[in-house]
Amino acid sequence: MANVRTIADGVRLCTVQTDKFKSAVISVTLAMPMTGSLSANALLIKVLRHSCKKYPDFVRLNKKLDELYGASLSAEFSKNGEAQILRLFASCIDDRFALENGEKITVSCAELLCGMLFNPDVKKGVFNAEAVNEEKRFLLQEIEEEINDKRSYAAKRCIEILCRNELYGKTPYGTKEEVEALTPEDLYEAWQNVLKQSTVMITCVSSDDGKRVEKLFKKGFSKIERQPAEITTEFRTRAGRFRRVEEKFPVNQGKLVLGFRTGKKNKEDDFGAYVLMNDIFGGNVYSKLFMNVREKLSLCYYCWARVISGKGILTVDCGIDTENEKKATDEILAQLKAVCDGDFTDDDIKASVMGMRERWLSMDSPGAICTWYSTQVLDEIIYTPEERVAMLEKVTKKEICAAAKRVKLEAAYMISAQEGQTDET
Amino acid sequence: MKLKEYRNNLLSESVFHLKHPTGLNIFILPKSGYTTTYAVFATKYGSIDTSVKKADGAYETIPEGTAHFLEHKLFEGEELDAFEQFAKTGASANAYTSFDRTAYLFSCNENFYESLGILLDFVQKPYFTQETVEKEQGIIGQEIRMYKDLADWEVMFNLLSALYYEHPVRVDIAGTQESIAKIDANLLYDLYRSFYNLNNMVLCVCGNVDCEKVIAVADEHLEKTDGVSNERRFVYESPKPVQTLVEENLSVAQKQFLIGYKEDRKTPEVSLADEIASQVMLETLFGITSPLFNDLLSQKLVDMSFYYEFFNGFGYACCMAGGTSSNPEKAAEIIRKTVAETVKTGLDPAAFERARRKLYGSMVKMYNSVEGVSNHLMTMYFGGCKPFEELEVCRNLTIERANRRLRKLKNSYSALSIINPLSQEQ
Repeated sequence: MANVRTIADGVRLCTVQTDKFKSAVISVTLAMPMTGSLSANALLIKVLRHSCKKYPDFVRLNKKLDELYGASLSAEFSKNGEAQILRLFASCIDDRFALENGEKITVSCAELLCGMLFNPDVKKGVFNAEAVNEEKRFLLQEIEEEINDKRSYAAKRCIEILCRNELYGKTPYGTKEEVEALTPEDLYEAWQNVLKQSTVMITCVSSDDGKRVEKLFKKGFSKIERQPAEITTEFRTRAGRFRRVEEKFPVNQGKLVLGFRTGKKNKEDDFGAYVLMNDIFGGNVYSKLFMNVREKLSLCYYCWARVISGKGILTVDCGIDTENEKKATDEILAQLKAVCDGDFTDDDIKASVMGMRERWLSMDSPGAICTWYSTQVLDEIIYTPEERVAMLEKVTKKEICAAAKRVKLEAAYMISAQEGQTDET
Repeated sequence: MKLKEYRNNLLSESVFHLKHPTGLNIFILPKSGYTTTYAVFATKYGSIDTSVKKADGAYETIPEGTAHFLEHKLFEGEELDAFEQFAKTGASANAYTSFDRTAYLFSCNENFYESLGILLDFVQKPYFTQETVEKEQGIIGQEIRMYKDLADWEVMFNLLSALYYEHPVRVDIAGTQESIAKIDANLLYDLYRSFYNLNNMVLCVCGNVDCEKVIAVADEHLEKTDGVSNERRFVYESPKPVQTLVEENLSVAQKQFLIGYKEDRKTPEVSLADEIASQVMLETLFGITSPLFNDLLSQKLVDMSFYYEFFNGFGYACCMAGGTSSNPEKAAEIIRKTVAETVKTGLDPAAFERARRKLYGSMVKMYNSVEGVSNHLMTMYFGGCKPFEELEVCRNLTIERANRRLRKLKNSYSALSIINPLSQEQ
């Protein structure tokens, strides 16, 4: 169903043509090595979303989007293994549902994205300072507000502690101080670098045949001297010495996150066995963590395990009363041991395969399809959901136990409630 | 049994409706090209139901948080719990409780009819013991604590408690540690019998399904119960807020605020046309292209987290706007001033038209999602509306109606909720 082709050096276009949906989406995913200027790239993607030559201010751009029946545009940055991912994402209603006949909404969105990427609001080698300052203010605030959501903050801190000597331990925006120091000139340089060096995947899911979209992006990239940078990720297969960090906050509930090495040598290494091991351990409501840490011991409302295949690590997170840290940790490790010991049935494996198949084959929104393919920006072989499911169906119980046995605890991060903060609400 | 078809030609979609002999209303929107199917089975029983009508017509008060508690407990079964049963079919199941309903749902690609049977069965078969109820008090206690640390949750509930004197919308959906401590197995069985009769419920399905087969599963699994649709008690509240300012300190980086305008409601519910008019009016007033938002932005009083909402249900309606701010009082002052001025001048027609198109676009997009459609069909049914009615209403919406909704905003009916940062050392 997906048609993937290379349209420039290191630039692939993936189109999925379908009239199943009421809306269409287009995304541009740009991968950069994490050795570069993370902060400049992160701010760049926000500034590109802010305005462009054709719509040089925020209000004019957003008015245009409103006229396109509330088309939405977003800019985000994240990590995928040790690559920094920058992404522009547009979503709009399909042309067929416009109030007036003949409106070409999808192509208009592709034009907007190309305008942002190739023709931003730049004069004489400098980005528009007003746009840069405004987006910088938003980004700094976003960084500062990371502590508002203690659950995601704790997850991020655990990874920082686990991978403190690896690129993966960095945040995808660099540091707050680096962001503060950025100038409109820095952004121009970042823009040039990203256009030249990134590995790119453009994904379009629409009833449109994608020809106009291809032409637009091809034309844009044809004017650039492409030199895609090499991107690799370090996989530490052995766990280092255990390290625990605790921070106190004036909160009601404590947050515990455990960080493990999985022993994976690369993303594809034993892919299926790790996915199923994680699911049986703590990926779902029928998993061991949910059934025991929550249902049996009532220690928490949530307790989930997550395997990060692109880096070969695994985390478990839960929200608990501060004094229950040891009890929860012991039970989580006991459940991991149970998976190692093969304390699960063939029916449990079947349920996990089924659960994962349900999750991966539920491709009934243009956004889900688009994300499935755009997250494979760095992969040589592009897998369909069906191909991924087939990998799970071959996995044996022995392989799941073997994968679990390689999972070793290396880090723990705990947010504990400051004295006098518990109970009083 | 004959299904009634509601057709929308623009979307090329049909919704089929059946009033099942057991009393349950069933709505189905088949999508033949889809792989996923979603089903939601819901009852008109939410956190605002803090009293129950007895046979003699009198209302009896019940603790806060019972609807949510019962939602957690229904997953339990005598032999296998519902999650274990769904694990066998591969369906992904969940449930939620909101202010005015409790909904049980699942989605799947395969074995849909089998999973539908499980859904209908487990919701119709309550099973709990005093022991499992006590265990659940621990889990829900942790859930309540988790929310108590979330600033955007707290800023809203603090606002609601500043706006409403009596209405139970002012209390957290899960209740409080104290209120859930009053819940026992007998109470849950009593409430189950009051609120979980099929006349008070709805089943909505969207995805790759055959209507006849859905009905066949319903025939096999639904058991007729006694009872009628839950009749809620409407108590008129003065539109004046309890207090105009409410503050709380939490572990956050920056101040957050939410300003709310309480509506003077003489009747319990807002019509669909007025609801949509309010949404378009608020987008015109507070949306990303509005002069007000851009004025606040340029003065660095808000950022992109700024949002607004028309928040309404049985017996309550209010307009809210807020986000992160370095100076919430100043932001609120500008909002109040602009609201008062706009009430005088009316909405800008061009901005109104952009907002109307934007809302229309989001309505159309919603029909992509089997989850969105199923929940929407449920909302429309509980709201007494017909399928697809919202599209016609949006198409025919006039600026006059939006201006009438605008004139409901009175600064004397407003309150401001602020969350202040609590530093680690404090």
